[in-house]
Amino acid sequence: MLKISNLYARVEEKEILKGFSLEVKAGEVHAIMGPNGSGKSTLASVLAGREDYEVTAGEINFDGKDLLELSPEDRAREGVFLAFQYPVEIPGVSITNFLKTALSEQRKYKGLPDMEPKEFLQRMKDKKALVEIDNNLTSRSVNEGFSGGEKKRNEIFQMAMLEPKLAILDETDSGLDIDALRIVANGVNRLKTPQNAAIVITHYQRLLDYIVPDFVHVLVDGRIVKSGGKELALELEEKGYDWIRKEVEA
Amino acid sequence: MVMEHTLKERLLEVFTQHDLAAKSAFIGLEGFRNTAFETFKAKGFPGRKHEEYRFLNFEPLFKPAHEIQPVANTLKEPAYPEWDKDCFRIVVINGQLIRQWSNLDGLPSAITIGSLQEALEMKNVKALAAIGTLASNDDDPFVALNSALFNQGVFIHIPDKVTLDKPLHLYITNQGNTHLFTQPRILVIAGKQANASLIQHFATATLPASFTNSLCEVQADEDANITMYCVQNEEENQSLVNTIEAHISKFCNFKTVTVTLGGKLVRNNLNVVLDSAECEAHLYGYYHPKNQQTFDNHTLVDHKFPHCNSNELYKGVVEEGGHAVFNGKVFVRKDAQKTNAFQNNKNILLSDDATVNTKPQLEIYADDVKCSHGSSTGYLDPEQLFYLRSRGISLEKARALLLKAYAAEVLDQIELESLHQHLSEQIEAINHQV
Repeated sequence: MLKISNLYARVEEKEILKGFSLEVKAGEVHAIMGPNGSGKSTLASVLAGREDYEVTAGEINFDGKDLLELSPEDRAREGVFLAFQYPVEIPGVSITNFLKTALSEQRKYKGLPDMEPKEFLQRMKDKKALVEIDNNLTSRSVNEGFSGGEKKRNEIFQMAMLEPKLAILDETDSGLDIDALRIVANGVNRLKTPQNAAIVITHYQRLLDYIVPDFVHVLVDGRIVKSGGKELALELEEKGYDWIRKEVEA
Repeated sequence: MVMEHTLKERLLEVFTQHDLAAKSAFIGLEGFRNTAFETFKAKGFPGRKHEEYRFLNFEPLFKPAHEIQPVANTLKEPAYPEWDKDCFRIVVINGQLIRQWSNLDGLPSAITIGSLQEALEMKNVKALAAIGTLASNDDDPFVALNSALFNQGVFIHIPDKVTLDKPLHLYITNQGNTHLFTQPRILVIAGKQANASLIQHFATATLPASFTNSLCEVQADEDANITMYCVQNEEENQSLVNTIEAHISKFCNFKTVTVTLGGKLVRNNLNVVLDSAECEAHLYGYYHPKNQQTFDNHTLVDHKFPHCNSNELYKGVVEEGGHAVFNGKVFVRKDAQKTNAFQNNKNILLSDDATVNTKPQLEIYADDVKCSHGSSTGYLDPEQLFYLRSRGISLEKARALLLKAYAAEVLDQIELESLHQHLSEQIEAINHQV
């Protein structure tokens, strides 16, 4: 589904990703772990198409398409979804209106007509239950006045509504207490199908107790230095990132 | 200045030729008009050195000869917008009330709506007492000129405890075959506990470039509740100075929403005097100038007495080649303790070639008050745009969504649903063209 080859990217003249490669197949969950400043969030931004990031070398192939050629909206329409680390507040745009517009635009891209209002409302209702979102939240402006946990749950709710092929969760666990974390993880797990995939970016192993990855990759200084199964996360938790650094240097 | 010379001379000629004062049976009006004209003669049109008008250039607008007191023989009934069906209506063409096209069916019989000139001639006590006491000729040459030259005008009296159960649509337009310079004038007296909303709707279209100098005076007595919507939707060659002078009394609630979407040069002078303790004023505005349009909002909120509230929010979107001016004065005088006065002006620039001059002015002479003002000018937030796009929404749609939400904060103050919807749709259409 996704093949990233030898990716170099920089922001404001500073090289962050330095030869990053990763392959993700349908049905897989990949965790990307790494210390602060290793390039985790840059990876998420580059995948979603944030404009202030410049790709200087490498390729990203998504289901046969050159992802780097696509605008952010076309990436979303192709099925890429980024759950933001810091979701933006948009006063005056209700979540319902926002999602209706997003769904309509995505369907138009695929040549589908707008969803029937009844069908849309039913989907809203089902997905709200899935992420345990308060009914009133969706009539409010996007993220405005939301708590940290509500913002993160709203990200997963949007993901549930839009049903992407590839979900990228950028530090979705940061700022969440254990209950919120459980709800968010539960949502992600229940959205999992053999046809979709997820990249879970995190600093701590904690989230991976709930979202169990098939692969764990360790990102240090802009590239993956070690990959393994879910037990690698535990090892990291125990030994810290210095252990990897030393191993890399050795 | 060429303009000063010719237009002033022409105005002088018209003023004496018509011998307006002599035509008036009302004795007091002669003096009223003459004094006003003398004031105008002494002041002239405001030039670019005039502090209150320094961003406006009237000179090119008056280069062609204007007909000053147009009497059109063949008037055509205008086409009204959809929301008109929810309103009473009066039609004002070239400053004159056109009765046959007004619609006042079902108007509470206690309410007077008629010609201001006639009301004065008939010695209407309310009109006589108020005329000349609200807007001051000395403060503004356009007020003086309107006082000298207004033709008939409109008088509206809502007596004590009377409610106007539908908004009154004041359809104000010009008609003729040449450049016109017209002076519509409206005097509104709202009695104690009167309740009314008025829609001042400027809608001149399909006319050689013309200039409207409109004056609306409002006197709201104790506990009156008055809402004024000001919809400015003229063709791109029409210019307008619209002065609203409102004096409000104890317990009054006075609200204005000014939406400027059309015209070449549009200047709003909105002056609200909180003339007693415990009253409140709410001022909202939205404007969207583009391509050589200048929309200028000057507001003055004058707190003279204690325990009053005022709140002001003006928001604009300025497109390529457009120019917006906001000047908001708030006076809190020595006796106006316990005043709450808030003001905010926000602007979004859609191009590097868009200009905003914004100047909030807060002058406080009392010491126990809560006041604040703020102003911001910037571009659409790139983070918000990216967030929307990352969900599959196109850049154009994302912009339109953000601009719609931005306008809604002001538009949601419009309580007449059909007018609210009409303006929302119009603004949405404008934003989609951006």
